[in-house]
Amino acid sequence: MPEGPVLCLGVSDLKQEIEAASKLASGFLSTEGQRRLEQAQYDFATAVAQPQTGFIWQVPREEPIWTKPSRAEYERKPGSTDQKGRGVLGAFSFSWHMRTGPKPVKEVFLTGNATSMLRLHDSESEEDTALSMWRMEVGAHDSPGCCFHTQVLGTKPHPPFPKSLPVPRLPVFPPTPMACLEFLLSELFQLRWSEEVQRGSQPANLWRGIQRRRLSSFLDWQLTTVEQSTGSPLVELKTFPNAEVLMGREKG
Amino acid sequence: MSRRGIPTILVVDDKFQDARRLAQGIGEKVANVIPRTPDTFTHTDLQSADLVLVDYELSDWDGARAGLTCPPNGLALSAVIREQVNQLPRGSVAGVALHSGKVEEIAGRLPVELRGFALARLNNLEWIFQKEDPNVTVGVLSLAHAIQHLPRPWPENTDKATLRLHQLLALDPSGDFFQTAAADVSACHPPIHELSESTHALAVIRWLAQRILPYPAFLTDTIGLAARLRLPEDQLKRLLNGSSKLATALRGVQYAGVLCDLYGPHWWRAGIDELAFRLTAGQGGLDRLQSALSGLAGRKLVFLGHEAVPAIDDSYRPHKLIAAGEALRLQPDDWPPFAGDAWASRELLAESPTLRGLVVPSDRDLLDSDA
Repeated sequence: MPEGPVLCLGVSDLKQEIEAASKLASGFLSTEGQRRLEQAQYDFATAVAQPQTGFIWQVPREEPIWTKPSRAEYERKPGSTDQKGRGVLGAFSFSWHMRTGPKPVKEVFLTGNATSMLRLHDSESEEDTALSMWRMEVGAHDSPGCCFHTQVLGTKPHPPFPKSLPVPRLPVFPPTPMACLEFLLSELFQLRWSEEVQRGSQPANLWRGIQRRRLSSFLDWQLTTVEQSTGSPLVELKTFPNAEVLMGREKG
Repeated sequence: MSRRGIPTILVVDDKFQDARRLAQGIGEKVANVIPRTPDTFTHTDLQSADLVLVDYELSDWDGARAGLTCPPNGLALSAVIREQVNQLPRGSVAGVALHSGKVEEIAGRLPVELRGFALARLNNLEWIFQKEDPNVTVGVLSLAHAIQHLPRPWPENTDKATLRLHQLLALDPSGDFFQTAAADVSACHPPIHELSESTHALAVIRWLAQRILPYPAFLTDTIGLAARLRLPEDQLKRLLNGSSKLATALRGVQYAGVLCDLYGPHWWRAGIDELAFRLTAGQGGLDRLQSALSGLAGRKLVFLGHEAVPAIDDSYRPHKLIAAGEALRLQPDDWPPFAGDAWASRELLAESPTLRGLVVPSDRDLLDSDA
């Protein structure tokens, strides 16, 4: 384990989150994407069966979870039937360095790099060049910037956003891999995704419960930090949150 | 019902010599086989049997012409036998399977590949063995052994019932992948509670034979294993027949529980994933995994250059590996909801209106697209 505080997450929460996401996202992903998400689910289950073991939970960048094409659904408004616009494919990959807790494994700890990469590609282009790319990350306790942040590009040496300049680190919600996948799908399929997660289906209910608990926990921490701030609240929100901020326990 | 040693198989055939021949084929050393004609088997025979194997064509005995209520074929006689078994004293358990060279008479348009389990399921049988199948005696023995090993009575307590199920599946609680595999098994709704109690636990055998082994669930077949490892199927088979460290490692996650000889070799999905986890030291990554697999194989393996899925054809059985990007998901009739997806190639779907109609609703928009 690295020195200093690390964030922990509930194994059950993460398992349920990916199970629900897998079902909810099924209609929005390519067949390869569905299969890769399913394999990620098995990989996580396999890893958390090993107590006190370090592992990387990942969907590699080279074989990302591809979405189906979005034909202007990324900007559709309610009631609109406009299908004009560039066809866009989303590509989602992530890599989370973790360590399992003691047996029986109920918690996992973020011990290193925890990043999700989201890319958009032109669905009609033969070229493999991304139209845009951003990363949603969890920083370590001693990293600069907000713990939960988004960075644009930042993987190549040239501008804009060269690798050598890791700013801005834009604040974001707790970016678990599945929350990042939801963000991508909700951006690409504005109406349809919203409808999917509003339904009374079992995975939608499960998903809502997990996200509500986790976000409530995070927002509680933010509120407390702001209320108790002695300096600038905005700056103090960059402090490392408490280790259990992502556990999202039910309020008593 | 033979509780110890070899199982007992009652073979019912209108031609006694055929029953004798099958008994000899199975072998006296591995099973106690009782050959009988439909009018000569007794309650004692049924009580001692683990499996009753009934010929389908029953035209050559007196009962066939004795009146409308007499069973005209093995299917009807099987139903009578089933009820006779149910009337036996508590604790007697015998499975009933059909053995026939004329399965097509009851199969209709059902593809040959599905008949063993799907037709059995439709006709309240444990299995249907086709005489032309070269592995029929192995399958018969496997089924008889499985029934012989059923606990009597089946435990009512949930924990004990789960334990007995794991024992039947030869799922070792101290094994590296036990926890994940046990969760996978549970997700497939094993009938180990009230259903097994009322059916003398034959429900467990049927679940395994008819709902688990033929489909990708917590066990995967050879083609599923090839897809997971991204190895061409022929290369994988050669490898499995060898004695490399990789072959040994894969044998370590091969399914060895009851019915392991009924429907070809299978592997624990959780076992394969755990092996991959171990080989990559938890770091994942395709390159790392493939390098480790080659290392264990003792030679450079040639992997598929793409992610692969087992594709089904008109027989509704997986028959070859195709690139995942070329596949769409199907919902064939009777495909268990807990099973992994059924896949078919876009190319085949373009040619087969029947299979096109089975594409899952959320994938239909991909039928004619390039995505």
